Amino acid sequence: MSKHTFTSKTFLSIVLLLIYIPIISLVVFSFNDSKSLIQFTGFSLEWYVKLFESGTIMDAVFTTILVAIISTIASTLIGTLGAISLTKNKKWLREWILNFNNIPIVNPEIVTAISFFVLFGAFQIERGLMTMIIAHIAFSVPYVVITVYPKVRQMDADLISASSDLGATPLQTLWHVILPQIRIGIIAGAAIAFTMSFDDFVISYFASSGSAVKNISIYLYTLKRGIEPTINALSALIILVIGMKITFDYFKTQKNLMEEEE
Amino acid sequence: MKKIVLLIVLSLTLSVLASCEASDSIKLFMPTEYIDESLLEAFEEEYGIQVELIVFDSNEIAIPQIEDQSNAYDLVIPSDYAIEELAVKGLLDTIDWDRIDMTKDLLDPAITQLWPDCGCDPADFNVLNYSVPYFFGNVGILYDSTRVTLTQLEALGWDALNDIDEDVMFYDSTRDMIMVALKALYAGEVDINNPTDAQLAAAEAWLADTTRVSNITYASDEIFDAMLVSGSTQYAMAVSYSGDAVYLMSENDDLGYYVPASGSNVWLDAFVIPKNAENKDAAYDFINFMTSFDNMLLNTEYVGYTAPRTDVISDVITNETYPESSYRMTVRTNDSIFRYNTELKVKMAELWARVRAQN
Amino acid sequence: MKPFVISKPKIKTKRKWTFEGFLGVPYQAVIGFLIVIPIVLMLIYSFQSRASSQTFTLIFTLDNYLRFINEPIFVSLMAESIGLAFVATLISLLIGYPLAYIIARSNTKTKTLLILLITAPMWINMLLRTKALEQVILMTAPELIGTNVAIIIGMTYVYLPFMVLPIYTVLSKIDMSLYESASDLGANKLQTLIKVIIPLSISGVLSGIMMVFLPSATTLVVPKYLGAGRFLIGNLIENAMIAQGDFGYGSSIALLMAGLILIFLYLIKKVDKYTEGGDE
Repeated sequence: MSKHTFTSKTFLSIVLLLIYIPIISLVVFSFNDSKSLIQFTGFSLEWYVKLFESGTIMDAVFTTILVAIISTIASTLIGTLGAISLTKNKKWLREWILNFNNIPIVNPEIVTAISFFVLFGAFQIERGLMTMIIAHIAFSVPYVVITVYPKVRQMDADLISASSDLGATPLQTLWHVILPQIRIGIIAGAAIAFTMSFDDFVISYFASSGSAVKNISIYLYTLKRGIEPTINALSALIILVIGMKITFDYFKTQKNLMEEEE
Repeated sequence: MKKIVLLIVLSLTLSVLASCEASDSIKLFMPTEYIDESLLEAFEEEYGIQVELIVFDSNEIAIPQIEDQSNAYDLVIPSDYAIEELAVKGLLDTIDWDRIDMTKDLLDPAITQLWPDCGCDPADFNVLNYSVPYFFGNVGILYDSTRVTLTQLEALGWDALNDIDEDVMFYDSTRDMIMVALKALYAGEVDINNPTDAQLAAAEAWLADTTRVSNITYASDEIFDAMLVSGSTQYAMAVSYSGDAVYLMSENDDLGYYVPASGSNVWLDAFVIPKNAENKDAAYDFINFMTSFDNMLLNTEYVGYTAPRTDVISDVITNETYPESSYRMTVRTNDSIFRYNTELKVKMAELWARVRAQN
Repeated sequence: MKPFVISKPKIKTKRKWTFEGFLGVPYQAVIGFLIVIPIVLMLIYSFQSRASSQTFTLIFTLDNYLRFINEPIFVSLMAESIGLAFVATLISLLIGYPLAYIIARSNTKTKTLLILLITAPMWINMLLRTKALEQVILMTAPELIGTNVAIIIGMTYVYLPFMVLPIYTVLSKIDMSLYESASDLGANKLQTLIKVIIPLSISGVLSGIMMVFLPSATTLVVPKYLGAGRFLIGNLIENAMIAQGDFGYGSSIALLMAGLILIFLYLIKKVDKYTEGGDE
């Protein structure tokens, strides 16, 4: 059943095409058998080989993944517990905290990045892997909180009172009653934190400036020579992973919808 | 809960391990694309000391990093004027030349001519008190002879960069480009370490020239990819350091290197040991390793920059590794060296920001 | 109906409160030390002159701000960055709104696929995407690189999904029956669109505008790759902080930019509240 007019279908197709042409070109050139990024001369897998042989790129990938995992775990933990504790705060305190929470969300990334740069500089903290992780945690926590907090507010307060009335310790209540109810929010928050960390550039750049630590974005930004299709190979692999995630998401949503319709 | 705690502990351990430094190591802070990295591995094998290489794009960026005491570099390779600034600010150790194997008499006469080690006026800065030479050279125009001729360059000098309808690369470096502008406008009449405000204003106009015929891009190490392949050079002319030019000319026969008669800057990059270095003995070891005849020869062959030792220079020229015309540094009348000058530095930084903001 | 609450012994409530209090400590530490204090530091630095920051004395001065404001080249650079971002945001809106509308009106199966396709690029590293665009432009129209056109294309390309997503979210919540009722009442498709749909989707539009305008105005990457190394306001801040090492100056420019953007956001919020109130 096509609800669309011819114009809207054409419009849609053109836009999708324009969006994907650079991405397709990226993948195509990753198989180029020459160094050129503009002229396709032949098919070759050499860049994929060179990708895994390149110490610098692999270091950058490792750093990106490591920082993303650690900061996601930490920020989800801190953010979730923080969101829960917010409900118990007095209204005025809660308002203040939520306002501060929104500062990194509302500010352009470069302002947040500079604030970390200044923080580490003022306290003479050596910039490197640790500062990058700290910065990532700091900008992820607010996003976790705004994702989890609404779920916390929607919780059934009666269940919690019931739990403690039945003799559960606060810890047990937390683990068995509260967390399962907000599980969806936690997972969503973690997903957001991970994506933001994995893709981050500006904040990581300033938070680790002057050290040898680089994530994928910093590596690309500071790459001055030797721009080869190895980068395309890296992109193609990332696109592959995302493609798989999308397909998975698509079929999962289809399944959910089918179940809903039943 | 237990699983989460385990995961956290694991990740934290990983991160601590990742940021832990090897037991014996030195942090080497130097410009990009400036060393044969296989020498770092060779040093590690010979001395058992790991070298952590951290790079910077320009002296201007490096100096705040060194001033930031939380970065404890063991060795830095800045340029002469930056060494002066760091020394004046009390950030450097003096070099104990008794611990250096390479003796000062081995240094090329051009170096001792421009940076005299007479120690005559104690108030005057002597670069060799604080540093051991690494490479030296000048600044010129790397050109593609199929797109621009030497005759054109000889006629126009530095102005060729603005006046020829071609793609031109300006080096993304405050000092060097301001120097180019000053020399273009005033040749030997200007003191690049003490230009008048009028001269600086004229230099700014030269750099920001919106009526220029050429098409300017600001870049630095991109020069390597851009000029490497004969027939597909990205620029007809590029402001270049002598060493990069020497290297690229050996890869691409179309290229030539011209230093205008109106003058250029001769610079010296040298090893310094910051006061807050953690492993100074290893630093001296590394300096001796790199300034030995064999290693310096390997390094200069790889990078293309002119080595400071006379014997190494002779070897390169005799064996025709690189052509004498561009490899050997000759000091001409209008050439000058840079000195540290606080006010000038601030003025130049602001000038540069304005020029870049206008592109 | 709430069942009557058994009053709990005081001790239990107190313990519960302290437990939750503990839970919040790491979060409050992050907010305090990693969000509030850095901004405060930035503010302090921005009011210090270069000399006093080296001697650790606190002298408040407007030097840094004046240095920036009094330099017409920098002010015009800020204006240029905002202008380019504005055009890019406008184009994103003109493309993004119809796109979101079409997708929201599709049948469920296509809807999911389409929205996933549009937002998938968001998950690919922004630098990679910008580089990819640069490569395509170099292949097809190399003389564009360095021009304002290329920069606007770049900003639009990178941030379009951020415009589509919020608008789509709002549009997809609009009850289908609304369209039917509107046409029952005699409105044609265009009238429905203008009088009913667009006002209802304003909050999504404003969200989208914010999410495209902010990063576009302050981007470091787009001018570098698509502008042939040009400076926009983001690069100027980068230059001040890293190349010049001047914390105060860099912070002052960043805060000026943030201030301008906050004013813009405040105006947007007002529009949002106005339309929300008016729809009652």
